[in-house]
Amino acid sequence: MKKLSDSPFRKNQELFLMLAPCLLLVFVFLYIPMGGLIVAFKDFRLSLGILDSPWNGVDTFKKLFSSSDFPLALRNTIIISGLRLTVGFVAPIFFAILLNEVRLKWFGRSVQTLTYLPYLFSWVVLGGIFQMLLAESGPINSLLISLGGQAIPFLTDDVWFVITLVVTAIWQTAGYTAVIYLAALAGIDPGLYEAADIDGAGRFRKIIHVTLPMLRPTIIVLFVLQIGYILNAGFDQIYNLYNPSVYDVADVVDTYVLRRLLTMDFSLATAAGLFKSVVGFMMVMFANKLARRWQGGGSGLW
Amino acid sequence: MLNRVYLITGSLVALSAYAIFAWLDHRALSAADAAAAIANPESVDWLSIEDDPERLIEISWMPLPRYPNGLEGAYGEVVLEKRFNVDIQPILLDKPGYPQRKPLMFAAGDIPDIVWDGNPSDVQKDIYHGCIRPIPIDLIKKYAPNYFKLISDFAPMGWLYADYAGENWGLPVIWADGGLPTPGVWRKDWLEAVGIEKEPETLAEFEEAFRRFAFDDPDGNGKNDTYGLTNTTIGWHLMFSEFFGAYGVLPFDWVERDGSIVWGGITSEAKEVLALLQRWNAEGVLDPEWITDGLGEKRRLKEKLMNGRVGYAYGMAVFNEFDTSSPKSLVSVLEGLNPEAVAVPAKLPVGPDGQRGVRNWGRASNTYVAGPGVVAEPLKLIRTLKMMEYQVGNGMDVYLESMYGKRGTHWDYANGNPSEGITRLAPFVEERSFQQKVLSVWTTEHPVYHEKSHAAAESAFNEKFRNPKHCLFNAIGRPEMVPSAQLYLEDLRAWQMNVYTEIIRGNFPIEYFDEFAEEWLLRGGAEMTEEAQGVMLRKNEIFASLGIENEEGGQR
Amino acid sequence: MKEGIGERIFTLLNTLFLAVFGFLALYPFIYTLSISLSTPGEAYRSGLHLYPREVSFEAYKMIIGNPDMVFGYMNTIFRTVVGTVLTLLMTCLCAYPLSRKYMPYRRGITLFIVFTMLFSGGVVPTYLLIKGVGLLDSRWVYIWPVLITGFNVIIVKSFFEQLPDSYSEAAKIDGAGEFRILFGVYIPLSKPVLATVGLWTAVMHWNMWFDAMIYITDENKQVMQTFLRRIVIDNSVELADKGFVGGGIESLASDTIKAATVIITVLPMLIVYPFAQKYFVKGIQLGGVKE
Repeated sequence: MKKLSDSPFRKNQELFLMLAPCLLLVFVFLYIPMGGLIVAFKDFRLSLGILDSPWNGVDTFKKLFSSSDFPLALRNTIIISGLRLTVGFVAPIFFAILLNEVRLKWFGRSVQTLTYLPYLFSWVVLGGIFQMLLAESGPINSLLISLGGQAIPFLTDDVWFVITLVVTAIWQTAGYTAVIYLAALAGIDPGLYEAADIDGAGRFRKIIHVTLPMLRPTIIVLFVLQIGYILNAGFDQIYNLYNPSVYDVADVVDTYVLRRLLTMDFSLATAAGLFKSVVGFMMVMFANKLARRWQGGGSGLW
Repeated sequence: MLNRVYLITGSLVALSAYAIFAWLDHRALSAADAAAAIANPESVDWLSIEDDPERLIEISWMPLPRYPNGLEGAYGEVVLEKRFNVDIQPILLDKPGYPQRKPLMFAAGDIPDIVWDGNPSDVQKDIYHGCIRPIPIDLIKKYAPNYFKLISDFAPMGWLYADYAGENWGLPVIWADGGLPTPGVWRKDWLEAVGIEKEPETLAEFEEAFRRFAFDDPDGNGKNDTYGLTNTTIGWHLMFSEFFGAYGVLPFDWVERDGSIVWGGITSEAKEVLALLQRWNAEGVLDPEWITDGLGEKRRLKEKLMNGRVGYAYGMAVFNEFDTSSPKSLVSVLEGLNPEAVAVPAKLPVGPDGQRGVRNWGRASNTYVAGPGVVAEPLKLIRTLKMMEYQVGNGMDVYLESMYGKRGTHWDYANGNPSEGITRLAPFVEERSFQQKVLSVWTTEHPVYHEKSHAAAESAFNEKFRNPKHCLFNAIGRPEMVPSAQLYLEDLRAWQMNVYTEIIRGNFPIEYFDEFAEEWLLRGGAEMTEEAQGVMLRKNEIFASLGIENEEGGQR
Repeated sequence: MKEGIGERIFTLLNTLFLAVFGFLALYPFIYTLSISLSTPGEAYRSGLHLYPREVSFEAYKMIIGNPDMVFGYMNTIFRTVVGTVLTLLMTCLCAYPLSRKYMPYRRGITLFIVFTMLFSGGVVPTYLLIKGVGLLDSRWVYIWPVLITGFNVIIVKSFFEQLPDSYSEAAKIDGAGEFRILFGVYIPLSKPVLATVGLWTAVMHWNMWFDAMIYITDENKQVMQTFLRRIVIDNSVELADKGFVGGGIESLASDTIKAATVIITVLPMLIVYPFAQKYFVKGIQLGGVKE
């Protein structure tokens, strides 16, 4: 028989006190609405409400997956999102390391400020700008031609379109995401570099043996968190750069759902969201397991 | 041990979250119930109800969303409130938010008495969700005979949009410009520079002009940097519409062929147009950037015409663009950028069989529907009908007051002369104060009064360049009028856009069109086409009941 | 210290690369600024628009004279400041216990929070909840629902976990409670990560419009992004496509006004950045503690 004072709650009551308001907020604002997820299995009528609408089993999912367009949309999503999760994930790390190597303080700071700028622009605005920049007669192609090259159909060729998506996504978010790595770098003990200097390590060896290992925990955390969004290919960006000639590669799960989503089809929207959530959740669980193994029995994210 | 704790706590959390949600859901419903009193729609004997003018009636009214956002207590609203002893509670949402906001309000039990619906499919959705109540035609005829006649005369398709299962569910409104075609624009100085004196009229003459624009250096800069025309892919309803029109077909709509309805996009005429466009593209007449010019709205199109990249642009021949008094108009901006450039409205090209035309939505545009509140208090609907009747059935002055406010305070004729058109008076010149202080629960446009209120210059412009006979309409109003459009239309449309674009670019051979047409039917097109015949029959029934025999000439 | 030739080339290339990247990132801003300062006709001229050829402040005058913008600004500033401060506080309160190895059930509770990153009830149930708790048409709807996000909690938690245990042990020996350890030791040591999370939260609040669009009817409580969206995407061809025919297709706002609105929305976040920046650029050290 344990004594009451030994109970884990009593022993850590201060910690639970800290947590309580947060958990309450999460419960109220995020968990209560999840009750509405059942609408994915219902034939929802606004006038009946979610609970009283008739059940329709997995009909909504059948409707969602039935079209011949869906497998294509899924494939495109995984390609685009996969590239964003690999190339797009590495880019800010790379960028942060490069910034870290800059000796001129004002220069580093200015570049950092500038590269954070694009994130403040929405794709509605950026779409028009890129259309102008990347057009066949636009400045970038004019430059290519004057250098003796050929004009590149950045926005209308399937492959180039995907490349454009990934590159512009990196352009937009690298500076913004790099902040977290810079924060991690700010915490590196300069003693470690000094020690490496004494060992006669060059710059590249210092990057590999000091900087990268210090970034590793942050990299793992961000990767595990972001892999959950595997089925989100960046709707806003695609929507604003979309044109019919790249339908084969640019039709992703989100644009597909939007098309099927006549104004009030909440069952379908919920079903699509649920599908994305389940896939994302499985990826995160898997990634977290992997992370724990990689950390040699560490705790992973939880 | 640990797992059991998790299991129990987890279930408790889930259960309590669900219980609270269930409570919220029911609470929302009961709010709706109270408003509706769950009255059976049949139980209201509409025609036997007597209006009691002494009774103040409250009406919640969600009108057309707009920007700048409106405010309660605008002039137009107060006039109606006094005259009809009603208290209008306007629910004014802004345009970008309206489609998201409306269903949420409905789900939470807040269904206004009178609701604006943009599309026929919105009306159908509202009915499906059980949120609105029928409005008997006889009731409309009893309280708003002039309104009824106006819609039947100028936009009878509106009655089809409001029809479901043989009953009427809405009050259609008119968009006067929906009956006017919008031709393209030529750079007249370019036509002259390449030696074309007669303004192009036939498709062949158009092609000749485009070709010379592309190859004869119309801007005389010695560089091969011009094209004949450009276009857009952003709106299916705009894409090369005048060229499809020259063959009498609408590629993304239902068209009538030998008494039955077919999808315009798979007809042989559409194939001919695609072959023509493919040739233009291959020859370098069509600006290759046409595919992406839609990104960032019409802006690029205007920009290209102004900066001398193309000599022809679709869909810009409206008076606003040729109004020399407005600094934003095409002619004013062009004047500033390049004083030698002259823009003139084009004619619509005449095809090989003498056809011409451009797609238009038709005058029937939006629909007002009635929430359950009107069953609980039938006078809400009756007073609304009386107000609609008042707006259109009392001559031009009342109509103008409903649209522009009080003459002398909010607006006046320019220089006191009706032939110079209406001009808003300060401070209502500014859109914001006009929308918030003057305009209220705007209802329908009246095509005749609308036309009359134009300045003589605008009327002359329309008379000269926008012949209502050149409008091409979807045979049943809108592509989404068939029930299974919900399942197939959007997918098929995206795919069709892709196929068309690739054919025009030459990435697919024109022969692929036949394969596309066959597969289109297999992917759900056949089902839609079959349903479309039924919709056509229903349209004919409705039109017959209204006594419409000849529906030619923009009377849609 | 002497640098080898390889290192010098690296420095050169690195500087060059970052400069180019910096310029590319700056370009949309230059473009928009240039359009916003042009005359309406000039805005139509094709080209890179690196600077306005004919300068006009007309667009700015029009926007600044618009009372909507003033309310929008106030509300956006309110939600950004209050939202960021409260988020930082609550995120720390949430992350600290979860970072303690002796905290019972920490894995389960963390999962409870991570779960909400991936699953959400959707827009209708959330609307019913917001209505149920009386936040409809209240400015606090900008704050409470987004106060705790799994992402922030995990980031801060993992940063706390990386701090050596010696700090908290030393403080405990001095008799400090958990609250004092958090506020007195951990938060001051976590400035870089808190600056990051704070910046991200601020930018999120600054750019958010969806909640304002669906929960707020009162114009005086709208945020600036709503007005930006109305101006930038209003009356597009697309809206006509969705049935918004009628009421005039012609755009109310010219390109210069659109551009000026974008600039006015972006500028404050640009100005604020350097203040956050100083906490996460190299040079802030962990108080010289050795493990």
